[in-house]
Amino acid sequence: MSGSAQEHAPLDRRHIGRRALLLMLGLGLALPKFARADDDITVPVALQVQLLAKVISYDRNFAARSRDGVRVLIVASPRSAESRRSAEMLRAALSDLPSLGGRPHEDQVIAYEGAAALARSTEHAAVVYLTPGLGDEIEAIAASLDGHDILSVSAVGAHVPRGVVLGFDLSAGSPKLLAHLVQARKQHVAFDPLVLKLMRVYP
Amino acid sequence: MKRPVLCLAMLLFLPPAVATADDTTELEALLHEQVVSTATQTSEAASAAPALSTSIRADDLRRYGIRSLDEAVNFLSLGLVTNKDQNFAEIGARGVLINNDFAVHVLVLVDGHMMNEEWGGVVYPDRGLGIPLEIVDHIEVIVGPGSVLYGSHAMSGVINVVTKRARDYAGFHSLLETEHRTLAPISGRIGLGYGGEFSLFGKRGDVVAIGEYYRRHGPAVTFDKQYYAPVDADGNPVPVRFAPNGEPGVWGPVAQRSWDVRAPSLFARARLGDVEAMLRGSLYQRQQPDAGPGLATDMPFDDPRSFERDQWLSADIKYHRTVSELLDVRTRVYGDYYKYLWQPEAYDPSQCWGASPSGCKLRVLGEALWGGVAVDGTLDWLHDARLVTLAGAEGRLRSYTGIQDEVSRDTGVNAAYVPSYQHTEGLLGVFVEQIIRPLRARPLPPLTLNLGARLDADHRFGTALSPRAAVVAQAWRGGALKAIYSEAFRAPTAYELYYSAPTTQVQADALRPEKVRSVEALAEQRFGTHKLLFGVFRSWWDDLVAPHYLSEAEITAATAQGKLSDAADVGQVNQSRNIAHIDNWGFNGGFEGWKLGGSLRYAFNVTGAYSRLDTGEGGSVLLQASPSLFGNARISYDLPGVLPTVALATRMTGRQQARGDFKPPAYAPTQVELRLTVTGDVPGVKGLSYRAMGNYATASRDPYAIGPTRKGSPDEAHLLPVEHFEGLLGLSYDVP
Repeated sequence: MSGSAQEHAPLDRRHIGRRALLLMLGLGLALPKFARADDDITVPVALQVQLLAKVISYDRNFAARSRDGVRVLIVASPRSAESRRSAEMLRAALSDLPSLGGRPHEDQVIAYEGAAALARSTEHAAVVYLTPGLGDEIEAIAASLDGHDILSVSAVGAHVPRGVVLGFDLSAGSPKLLAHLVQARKQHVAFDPLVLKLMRVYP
Repeated sequence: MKRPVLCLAMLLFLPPAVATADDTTELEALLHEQVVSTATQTSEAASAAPALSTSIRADDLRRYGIRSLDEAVNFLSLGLVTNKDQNFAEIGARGVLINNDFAVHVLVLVDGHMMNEEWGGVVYPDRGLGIPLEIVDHIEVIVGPGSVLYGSHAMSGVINVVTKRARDYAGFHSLLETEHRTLAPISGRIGLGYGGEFSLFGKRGDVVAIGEYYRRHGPAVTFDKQYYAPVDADGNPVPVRFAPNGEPGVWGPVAQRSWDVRAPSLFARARLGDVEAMLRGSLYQRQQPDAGPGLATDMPFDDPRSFERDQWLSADIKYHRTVSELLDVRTRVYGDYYKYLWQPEAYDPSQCWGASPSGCKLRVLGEALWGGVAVDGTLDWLHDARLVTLAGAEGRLRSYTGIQDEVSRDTGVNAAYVPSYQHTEGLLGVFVEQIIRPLRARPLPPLTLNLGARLDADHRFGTALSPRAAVVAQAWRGGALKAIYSEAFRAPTAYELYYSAPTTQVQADALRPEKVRSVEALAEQRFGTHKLLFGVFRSWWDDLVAPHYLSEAEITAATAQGKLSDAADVGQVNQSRNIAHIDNWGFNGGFEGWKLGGSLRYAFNVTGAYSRLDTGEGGSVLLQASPSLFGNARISYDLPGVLPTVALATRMTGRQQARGDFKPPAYAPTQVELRLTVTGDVPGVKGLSYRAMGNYATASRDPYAIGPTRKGSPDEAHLLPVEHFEGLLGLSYDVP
């Protein structure tokens, strides 16, 4: 056959399938594979903030802490895209709530710059909301908040056993409230026994 | 003076910051919200999902004495229903249950991994699923077309079995259960499992694993004798021999050696950082009084050497990575192996293709190996989940074989009279889904829009497009209105495309995919700890694969082309074609709630539908063995302290036309099952718990004709007997 009159054989559909398979395998494997701790959000953010809005009013010290309104600090790790995105999702979801625990609220996303800096930032805040990507910092954050009058919340349920006061997890397809009572006492958070019955408590 | 006045003013005008006991119900209602991910592949509340989406919890599986997926569907779900044909559960939704489809119209997933095999499209929504229920976290049920994200099979719905994480299955677990039936023989299962977390290479990980062996033997069942002697070409009756020493022409009466099931299974899932791997293996071997599955009418009776067996091996690796604030990527690589063997002993020469006066051992073998890669990404344009695009692609290769042969008892020669086939194919599916939430356009309430479509290109049939459009309106507090249009398809199976037999079946010409279109409207209202749901639907099923019986001229033409042997008779030869249609409409209703802090729980579900089948051979008929009215109800109470949880569940299927060609039609009566279950911890023995269940069925017959008599008058219909009573007693021992 001459080059100009070369006849192209019909492309076998099996070859299309195989090439597509190899292309997608290569695409999937080419993506960066950075190590990451267990930092999964399991309860949808919109449902988390609805739960927070209800639970927060069961903190007996909430009224005193929120005398001038509820200031929520959403903490994002500048090194984690998931953290930054989760923070924006939380801010958007919080903006849909007219009130938190019956109080007006103001929500702010801040970048995490270390546990000590975070503790200083919480001076006039009622709630500090932690996002994925901060998993390696949880113990340091918890220690830095000792003695502070603040409710620490995490979007990642796995952070609660490690020192966050309140978190959310999914079990059997329904949300669960998690609470760290020892850390709660250190941060002057006192949940009503009525709501403690609905929580999985640590330690 | 001023201070008391100030205090009084604060009390009067400052809103209470500490909630009262009365507010607990709203919080509890939120904690009972079902979170689903199957409808959109994103995690969301069921009330926001663009589908009729419900979730069955692990706790409910245990407290209501559920033993398998089909029982979960019947006693706990809304919109889906199963019927049991001997050892096989048939499944349908919204009044459409297609007999002998082997569940190919429902897509069953386990953690997103497709369980429908690639040779016959079959999945077993019963013991044959091979997933021990102890490892199940919850079961998400999407009713209605779901091909927009999942491709083939998702016509009636999608069932996604989600397994537990290690922190919900921590420690070592063992179980022993025995089952008891009306006529005493005992069956049972044993199982061992483990769940644990670990750290490796600086990453956190977890693993869950469970193995189970289920065994059923008996009971002996007495059937009415059936006399079967088809006439030969000269008009002489030729009695068929159904057993080696049985009376010729007599089917029945006592099945002593069948009703045998063996089902070992193993499931394991491990996660380390962003990577998750799953491994599953199962075997499902069974014998039954009527050895012919489905429509075969002359298969052996009560033969212990005739059996069916399915074997599965599945592996799946997933990887998830948030690349940026805009983009999330998930990759999945999977592979499966499946083997089916049906090996009935034939004691009559009429049951053999070759000349074997003493009969033969038949063998039907199907084998498939497939694997694929799926990559999908989530683009969160505003970084706040309000404007999200999901896009993905899946490529799959499959290779399969179908063989049918027989060994003559007279000569010992193994010969194949039915052509075998072997093919390797590929498929490619791409989908896109756009979610906008909430869309605020006064005076309308906040709306969530979901628009999506999937295009599948498959070597078997060409292309199929499956769109979906849905609007969810959060109309008022606790209320949601949904309007959904969706389409789905089912690819023809290898068996439908390539099977032929020299005197009874011509190989299909190119088959198109079956299609379904559906519109539905749903209203959900949550009030306190209660939820009410009501919906209406309309669906059109087209191009359904059904047998077309060849005319004399068509038989002559096929014989001339070498597709049939000279022995083919008019009325006995068929060819699979896309000729059937179903028209369907109806309603779903559901109610659930709880009181006393969750100690008292109750629910009620009902579905009513009108469905008519046009077989393509003339006329519109009622679907056989497909209930038009079905539902369930349940109530349970957690007694205080060491006392158990007592639960009562009931399910109902309305009167159903029996399967077969009976004129006028034969019917099975309304069936009501009552199930009482008691669960609790054994006092004084830490880690030891029990489950005791008793089930009573009111009707004694199911809508499946059993034995060779499949046509005639209704009085001649021999319907499958149902055991009135079944019981279960189980012990579990858990070491955290």
